[in-house]
Amino acid sequence: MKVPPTTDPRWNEFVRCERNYPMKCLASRIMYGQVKILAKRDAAQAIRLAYEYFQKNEALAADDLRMVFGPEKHG
Amino acid sequence: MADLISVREASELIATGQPMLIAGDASRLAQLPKGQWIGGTTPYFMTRNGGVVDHERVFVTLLDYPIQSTSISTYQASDVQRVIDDYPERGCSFVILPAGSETHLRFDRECLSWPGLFNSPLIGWNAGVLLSEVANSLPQVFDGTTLQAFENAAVVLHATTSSEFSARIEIINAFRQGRGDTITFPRSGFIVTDCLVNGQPWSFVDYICQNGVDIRWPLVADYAGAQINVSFQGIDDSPKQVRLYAPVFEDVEYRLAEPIENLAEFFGQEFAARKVKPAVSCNCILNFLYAELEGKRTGDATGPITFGEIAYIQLNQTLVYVTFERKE
Repeated sequence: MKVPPTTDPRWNEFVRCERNYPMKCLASRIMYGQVKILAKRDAAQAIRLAYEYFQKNEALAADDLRMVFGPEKHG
Repeated sequence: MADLISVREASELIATGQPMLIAGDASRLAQLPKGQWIGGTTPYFMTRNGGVVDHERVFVTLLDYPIQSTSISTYQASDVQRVIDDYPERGCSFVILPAGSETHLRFDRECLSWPGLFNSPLIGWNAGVLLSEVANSLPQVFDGTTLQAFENAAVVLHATTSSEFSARIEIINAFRQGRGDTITFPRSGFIVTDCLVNGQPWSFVDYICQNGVDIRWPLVADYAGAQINVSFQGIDDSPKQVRLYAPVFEDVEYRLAEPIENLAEFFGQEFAARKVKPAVSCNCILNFLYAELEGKRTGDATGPITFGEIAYIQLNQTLVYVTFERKE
């Protein structure tokens, strides 16, 4: 699955979400924890961090990306 | 291969040219020949036969397939964030820091603010010394390519893997956030005086003492489901403060850990349940002490016993490991 561009409105929902997405891999969970803290100060920076993470970790975080943005998303 | 072996056996392995991580007493690491290895001091190990304290042998973890090539770099406290610039295009980076050094403290305090930290797997540990020797000797890390030892630098082995594989770092943490008070801190740091308990200001020392908190068990933060510990180092009366093994952060909510029974058995059982074959793993000295792991086995969870663990960020009281998984 391709990582959606940072202009996709779903990124905003993702970084500001009150609930936790049940991420599979540790890196995604720590990254997301940091993203949610960052989003309180600077949502755009939080989106960039998450976007870059999914871009750079295409294989490792594939399941987590699908869970957030795929048709079966749980957010 | 990951095992506690003699200096002679380790030297023979180094001569084969294979990359490896080595843990042991400083005097033994200093006897090893040049090669593709990085090392750090600790006399504590978990072997297949159980936990041991050993000053003679060294714990060697061979980094073999799917690792194809490696490079070794050293970073000073002032430029330790450059570790990220040197991440391999695909693979994993292994880092060893001397516990308590400025390099270690800077990494802990700042790594979460470094752009690109999560762009490639970063795993490692802090070197330490025999606990009875803490006042007399400093932890050291070694760059095997030069045989230089450092008391204040990070040594990192950047490993490139075959394109068919990806590295995956995971943790085994026996602790979870309890259901008690939410604790936040007005300032980030390793030394804490004040805190907010459910929003009300408290002296953190008073909170711990008045509530009979067992400081063997850590504070725990919840990073989107990842339970991240901050362990207690001690409480001082004058100045009145709490010392921690990792920093707390002002934006993060903490709770005291739920107490756990059978800590010694937990690691072996959890490792077996996950059915993983880690390329590298290590566990924390506080788990070794509080679970009295000397002489006890933890199944396939073998490796050096360390003074802080790194899975992207600094962890305490946690077993960390990396596996290489074939991409789908």
